[in-house]
Amino acid sequence: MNPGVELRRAGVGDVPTLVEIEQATFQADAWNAEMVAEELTGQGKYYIVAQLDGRVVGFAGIFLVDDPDIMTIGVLPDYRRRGIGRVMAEHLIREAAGTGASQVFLEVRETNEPAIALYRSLGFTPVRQRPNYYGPGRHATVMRLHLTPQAASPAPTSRSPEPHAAPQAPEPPPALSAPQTAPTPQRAPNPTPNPTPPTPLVLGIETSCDETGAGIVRGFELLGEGLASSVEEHARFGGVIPEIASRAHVEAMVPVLNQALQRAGVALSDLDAIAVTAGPGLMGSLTVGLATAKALAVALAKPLYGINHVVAHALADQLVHGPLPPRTMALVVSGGHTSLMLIEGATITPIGATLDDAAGEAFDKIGRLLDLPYPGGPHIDRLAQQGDRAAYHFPRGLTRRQDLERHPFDFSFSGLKTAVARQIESWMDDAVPIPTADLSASFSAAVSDVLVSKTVAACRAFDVDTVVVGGGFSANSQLRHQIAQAGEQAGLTVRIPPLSLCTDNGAMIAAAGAHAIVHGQPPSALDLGADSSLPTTHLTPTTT
Amino acid sequence: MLGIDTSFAAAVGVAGIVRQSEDPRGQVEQLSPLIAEALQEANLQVSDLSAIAAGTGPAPYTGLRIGLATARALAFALGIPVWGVPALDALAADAAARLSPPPGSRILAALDAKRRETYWALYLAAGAAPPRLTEGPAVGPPTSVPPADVVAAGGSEEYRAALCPTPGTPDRVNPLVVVELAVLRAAQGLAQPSDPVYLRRPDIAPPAPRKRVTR
Repeated sequence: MNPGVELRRAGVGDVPTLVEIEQATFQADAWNAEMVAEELTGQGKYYIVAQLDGRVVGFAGIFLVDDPDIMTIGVLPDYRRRGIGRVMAEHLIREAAGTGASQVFLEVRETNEPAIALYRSLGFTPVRQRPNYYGPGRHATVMRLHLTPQAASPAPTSRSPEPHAAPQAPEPPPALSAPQTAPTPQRAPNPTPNPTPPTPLVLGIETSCDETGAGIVRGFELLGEGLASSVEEHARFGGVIPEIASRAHVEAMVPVLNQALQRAGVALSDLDAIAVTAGPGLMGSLTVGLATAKALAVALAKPLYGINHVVAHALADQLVHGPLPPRTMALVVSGGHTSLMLIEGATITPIGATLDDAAGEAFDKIGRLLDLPYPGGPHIDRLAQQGDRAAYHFPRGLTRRQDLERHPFDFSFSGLKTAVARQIESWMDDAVPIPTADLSASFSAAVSDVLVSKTVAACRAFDVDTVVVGGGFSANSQLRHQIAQAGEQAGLTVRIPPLSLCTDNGAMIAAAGAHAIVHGQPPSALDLGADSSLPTTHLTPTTT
Repeated sequence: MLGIDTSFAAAVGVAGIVRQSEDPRGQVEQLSPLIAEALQEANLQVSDLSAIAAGTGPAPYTGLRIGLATARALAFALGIPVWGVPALDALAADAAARLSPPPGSRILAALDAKRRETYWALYLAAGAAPPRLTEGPAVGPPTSVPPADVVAAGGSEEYRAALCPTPGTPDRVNPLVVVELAVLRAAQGLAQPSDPVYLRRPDIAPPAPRKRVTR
């Protein structure tokens, strides 16, 4: 397959040639001669070169520690697609197996599909993403190979096609925490004086409505959460009473913080940053979380990130399904919000929103008409599952041609609510028993139809292939089912986090804080204020 | 020790230095920067603090909560105690210290409760010791407050004018006096909870009766 390819251990005499290969392979990110020399001679480093007809055409290296890490694989452009990279990778894997290691890791640019295909064919599987590993917006996929006797000498039966442009990866990490090595090579193309940690440890605080939440993340990994709710105190009033919610936040705040820290096994002093909901929400509630977060920032001398609550709902899914792709359409639906927005890194573009009631609010109001307990949404959802969604036809707001011209991606649910109320009243006037299951199903269908059709249309209009759904209303079974189905038909990837991350919580604010940091957003000023109607134009509110 | 009071605007005191804002609506923005400023002016690090003292009201709710949430979070992060001091106690103690009324004089302390009402409490002057609380705290219209020899009212000019305060009395709660009272009471072994004093139950408009959409 590769006649004439010889492998040998690299020596310092190879440095000039290896620098050429580096430049041909990694361009601006290439190591210079000094870095290459340090790599070749560093403790625990094992580098080989591949020769063809006596000429060095490629090189590769591994860091032989407890969990060996493949550092680099590079082949001159004219010699690619000949399996030279594969031969070198297999050699390094055998070398790692020889040290008794049970697994091998590597980092690869997540856009380097040929390289990823090569590593998959060798038995590597992706384990997580490292955001901004190669610089802003340039993420690495971490891949792992469990070493077994078969893997140590990969079976030649896997006749997967050779990668096209490979093997030009993996790119080595920007910095290594090698124990005894001298200054380690840098691969990050835009080194900053104070590089943010690739996986910042962030505390998130949420108090925008009736949930007091604290969550701690490392990058997009959730470490621990604390949560308290005053929902039961509001239930008898049929809605959230702001003053009751605010008073509850003051009482719950420190215990909830403590709970999150203990569950995460983290001390406050370990944190890299503090994120807090700055709006939208109830003013009296927002200020409790904001005052708390600012005091922590002062006491700990850590940066503060004010976070838009609605945008954070869309970013929470990253704690479960990993980082969002570069462009994502987000649908956030809850008792207080109905928003469509385009998320491109830290850039948020509002696409549509409700002109009147939020979808969840409409559910709660219909719940009151039906004498269902507060909040009515889950009860209507349960009833709807036993009903016929086509039993009654209710209006789909802003879907007529002339409305679509003016409000292609906006929502309106007040007309629907009135139509349902009118129907209920006519039954009551006639003393007819209300067919609650069919009514709930037909009402839910009207809401879901509009949410789903406008979301899919927005994806088409903005040429986006991933949808993320967030907010408490994404618990609605009809919405979940319908958007998954519509997404499949339209060729969209639909991401919905589990319910625990859909309702208000501190973890989503922490995730949004981590998102802001890895996308290079500056911290908020200490005079950050609360904004009850903060628009979904920014992840972090612009300084006042 | 750091003293915080948010019964009017945002006020911070540490090591003899006071930093305060004039905007009763800007507390959430201003309080933490004022703390950082006051510490810097006093040439102190936040880690030098040994306790936080904060006014517990009664005062308008949102500002009061901002002060207490800030105090509690600072204390939590620094691992130091937080002591709550009724804001009216601090106002009365400050008035007594400034005017030295004869022991037994009646001192009324009052803070703006909004909605044309006032928070008040009545104290008896006790010489060098802080005045003793005899009535209140309570909330009601300005006409409901008992007569007194010394009247101290904290708040806007407009609010104070309605109370006819005694000349020479403070026009707002001094955070350094909050610290002094907290230290004194801590030395006496008194509990000083940092719970906000609201005096009013939450405003709750009962759900409006259902309106028909059809007639």
